Amino acid sequence: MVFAFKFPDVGEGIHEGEIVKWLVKEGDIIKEDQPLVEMQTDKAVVEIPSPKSGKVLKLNFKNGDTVKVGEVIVLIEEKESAKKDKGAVVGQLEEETSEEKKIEKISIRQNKSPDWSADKLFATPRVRNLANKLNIDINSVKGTGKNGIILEDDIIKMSKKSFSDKALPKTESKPGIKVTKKYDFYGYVDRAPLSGIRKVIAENMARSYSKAVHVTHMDFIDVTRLAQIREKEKGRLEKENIKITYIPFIIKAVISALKEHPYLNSSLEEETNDIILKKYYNIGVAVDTKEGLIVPVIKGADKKDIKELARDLFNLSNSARERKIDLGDLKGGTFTITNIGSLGGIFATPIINYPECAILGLGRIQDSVQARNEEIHIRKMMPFSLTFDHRILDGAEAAKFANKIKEILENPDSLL
Amino acid sequence: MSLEDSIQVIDLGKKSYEEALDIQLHLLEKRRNNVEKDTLILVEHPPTITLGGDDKWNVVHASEKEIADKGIAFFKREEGKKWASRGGGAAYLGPGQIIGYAIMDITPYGINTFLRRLEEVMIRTARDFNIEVNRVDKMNPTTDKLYRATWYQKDGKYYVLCTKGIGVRAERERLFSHHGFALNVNNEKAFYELIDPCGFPKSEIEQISMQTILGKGLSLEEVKENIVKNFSEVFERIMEYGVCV
Repeated sequence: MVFAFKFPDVGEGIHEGEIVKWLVKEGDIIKEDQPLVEMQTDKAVVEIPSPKSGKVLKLNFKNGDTVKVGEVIVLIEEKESAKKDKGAVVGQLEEETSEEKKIEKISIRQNKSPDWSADKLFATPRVRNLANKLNIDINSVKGTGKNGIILEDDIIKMSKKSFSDKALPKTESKPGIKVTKKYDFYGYVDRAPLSGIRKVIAENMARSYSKAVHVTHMDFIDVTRLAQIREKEKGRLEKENIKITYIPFIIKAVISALKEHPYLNSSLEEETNDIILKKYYNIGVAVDTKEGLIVPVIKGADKKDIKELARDLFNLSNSARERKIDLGDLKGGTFTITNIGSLGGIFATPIINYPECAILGLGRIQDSVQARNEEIHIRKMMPFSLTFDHRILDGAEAAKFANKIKEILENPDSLL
Repeated sequence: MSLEDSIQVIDLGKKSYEEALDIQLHLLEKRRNNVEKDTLILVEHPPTITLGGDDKWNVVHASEKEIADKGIAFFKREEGKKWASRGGGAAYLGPGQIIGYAIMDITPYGINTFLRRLEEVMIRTARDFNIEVNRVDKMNPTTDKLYRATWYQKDGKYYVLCTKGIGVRAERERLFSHHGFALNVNNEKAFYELIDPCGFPKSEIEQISMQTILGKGLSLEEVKENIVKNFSEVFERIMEYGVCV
């Protein structure tokens, strides 16, 4: 049987690679796992081993060629005998070091495990071994890899699942029958599953609300001068294709205030009863996406200027909206800002992004009549709602923190 | 083994490239077989020039004898010798430099994200010592392609403070990394007359170390501690010191 080996998908954003060097040639007898080819992508050389034992019939590309993911790079004639034929190996494997021999022994042992040849399931010996070790019946596992191949994660997930199945008292269930009520006592109803991001949000919000003691402090900030500065910056940065909102300025002000009031940049470690005061400033900004609220985090925000913050914010929100965001960019926040005014609204009571200590909600900026020095002025006023964890600090500290933000944003020239 | 597991840090102290490669390959096999955790090796090499896996990138101006005469070890792909291809071109490694080799299952990150995070570790480590390095895409004259790297910039010039280049073993659905990064801490020599580092000619870039920028030498131990701390933060994993046996 001839096996056509396609250039595998080696991860996000990599659609093609350049062949650096073929490590086999046509006519070679090769073993499963033997390195076939080296490909170059960015600053990584990727070595791709053969998934099959057999004879190399044809190399479809030569050194230096660019190959797209999914293109057939080599044809291998599979031979049953080749698997057992340990002598006919080419290249660097001919002179096996003792270490390689050890590994060879392991894989031979794995090959002899009764599961391996007995059925048609796709799983590597390692995955099968893991399943054996964890007492998982591999036949009951659904593979999530390409072509239904069973991955280690599938086994681990199954083991966790079967563990929790065992841990929970079993409720009586009739297999194959699922009753969904289409009505309740008062009338007909529809059901929508709580899944995906919605489910994660539900869990996080419930955890935060049940753990932290939420208190919200509210006030207005006069952003008339800030609006002028932002307009000026907007014009300047548009030329560099950077869209600037109020948020980068607010991040700057928040960080200055956090430095003066470090308890707002902390979290409570319940196991030790320690308040962990963080010496880094990673600011999360809530982004509304189709699937729900996502909070990308600008890491090391204190080291960035307005322009860098604007750019980071733009890139992170875009990748969040397109669901392309790196999971790492959603973690590690120390303080969160949420814009509740984009759709209207003055105040709200934001829920803390637990285990952080506080969250700042921004209301809609509106022209408003203000009395100053016994005169009437029209000023741009931004309402804000600061929720903090009353376990960690008191209202006085929160008010001082809020006043500091206010002071900076009302005299914003120093922010640039 | 998953992302919740810790990464073990193995500080090899001073060791030759060849010895460290042996350890890398050994750990890589164990990692592939799931009998070893992810590992970050930290090591300082004697003067050594190593080549990358792709000969197009490797620009060497001297003969092997001339290199040997300068007391520099030379390592390239050779029949019968251990070898593991990494990305990037010829590189000089030497005393005063901290080399990091990451033997990790990088499947959850992907190659690009993993490289960006290695860069981030370097950027943060330099920043810990008040040195700013930036990610800049620069045209590489050898490969004629835009080249993403981290540079220390001063007066419009590009300086190499840290470099990276990894090898990846793509195995069915999993990706395992080896090699990693180098950070110039106290090294003065770069031997750019012998090689074009990563394919950049001497006219375009210069080597620089943290010592040169700050005007004083740093404790390698202190810098290593910062690397480990930043590795932990960037990869969001707990780091544990291990011993290589």
